[in-house]
Amino acid sequence: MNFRNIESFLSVDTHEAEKLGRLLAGILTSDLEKIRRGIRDNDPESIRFVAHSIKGASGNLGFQSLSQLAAVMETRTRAGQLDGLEDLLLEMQQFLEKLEDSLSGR
Amino acid sequence: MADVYSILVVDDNLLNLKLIEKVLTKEGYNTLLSDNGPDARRIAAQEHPDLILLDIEMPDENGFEVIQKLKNDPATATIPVLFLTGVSEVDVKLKGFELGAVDYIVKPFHPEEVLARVRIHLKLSIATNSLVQEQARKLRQITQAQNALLPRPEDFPNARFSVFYRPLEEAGGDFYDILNISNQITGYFLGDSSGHDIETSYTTASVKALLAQNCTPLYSPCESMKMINDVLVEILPEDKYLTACYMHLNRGTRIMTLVNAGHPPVIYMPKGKNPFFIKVPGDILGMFPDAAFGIKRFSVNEGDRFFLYSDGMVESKEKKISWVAGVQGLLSFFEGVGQINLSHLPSTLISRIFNGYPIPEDDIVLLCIEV
Repeated sequence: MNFRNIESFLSVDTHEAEKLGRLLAGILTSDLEKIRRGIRDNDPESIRFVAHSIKGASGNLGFQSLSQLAAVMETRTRAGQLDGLEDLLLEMQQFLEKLEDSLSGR
Repeated sequence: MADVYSILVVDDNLLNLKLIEKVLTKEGYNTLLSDNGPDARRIAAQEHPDLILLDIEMPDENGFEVIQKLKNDPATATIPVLFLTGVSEVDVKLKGFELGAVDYIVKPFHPEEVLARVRIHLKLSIATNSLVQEQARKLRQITQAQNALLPRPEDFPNARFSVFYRPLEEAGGDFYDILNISNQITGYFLGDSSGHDIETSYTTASVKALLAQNCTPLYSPCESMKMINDVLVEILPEDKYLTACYMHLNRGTRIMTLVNAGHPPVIYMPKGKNPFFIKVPGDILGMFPDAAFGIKRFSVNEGDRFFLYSDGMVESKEKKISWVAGVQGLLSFFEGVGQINLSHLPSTLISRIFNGYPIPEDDIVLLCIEV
């Protein structure tokens, strides 16, 4: 996932896109940790809240795939389900790593 | 430079805050940012932004609670609020509208949509404010026009009267008039129209014109009131009427004629004596074609005083006191005022009756007349 997607989606320059990308990466790192904690503590409501937040923020930057993953997670946890969340979490983690790679020029 | 509009953005997600800030500042808006409800409310009250973009899903105090508190606070109640929601359920949107939001933006949002909605609601807000300002200006004009209709004692020195007049709203329902019927005859009219709205101010103007047309030497006081009643029955809306008191004083013959149309009783204070009520019940004005007014005709002497007043002086809806009950203790306030200069009487009596200054529950008129 390349942070430069933000450039075209929001019509901002590379510098602005990078700043927003770094902000998303920082927030996502913290949010994914909260989701891990929620899975460990069997706390669907706290996961739902974080997933809801990721859904909006990533969608606002044009990262539809991440937004859709978060939407699925939000729907499941709203119903109190914790099954399959690890898979979704893993996909989110992979998204984060790709974003960080693009930010560090790799 | 054109006006810079300020927009308060409230979202617990820092990325959303930064993104909306970027979108808005690029278009020349001034942004205020908050990541929680209590801070947002404090900023709104202090800075009074032109618009608020408010996230619903926030920890601790959610957007619904924030908007409810904003709308309950007079300092922030009129600021338009657009809520940001990641939830597309109708119930959530309806709840936002019920609480006073003007619109919503579903997250994820596109920057152009945010800008478009901000623009349209700023335009609506500006238009509404202009309308309010225009209405306020017109109401001020009505107040000025209505005040211009009220005679001042200095313009009628021979009528020997003084007055306290305070309308509850811009368009008062109470009014009075002084009529120079002849060199020796003066008419004093005090009316209380139902309502305080703009329609009422037109009633006031109509009655003033009718008084000028009908209170002439050709007609007896009762005939004058009956003719005015006939016209009012025709022109007033069904639920509108007046209570009124008309006093016709002939200083040549020293005869006072009192016509009462459902109005609280006049207080009569013969010179050097205690005050008492003159109770002459009668029908109200403007409601019945065959209205029967209370009439009393009696001799008076120089220096005698009369007091006409509206129900606002004796009635209290808050304390559940009708004017009938309210007049019971009224006479005690008039004791010993015989020596007070006529021009000082209204303020002295109002101060006594209201123990300082009247609480605004209704229009108040007190007309003091000396023979």
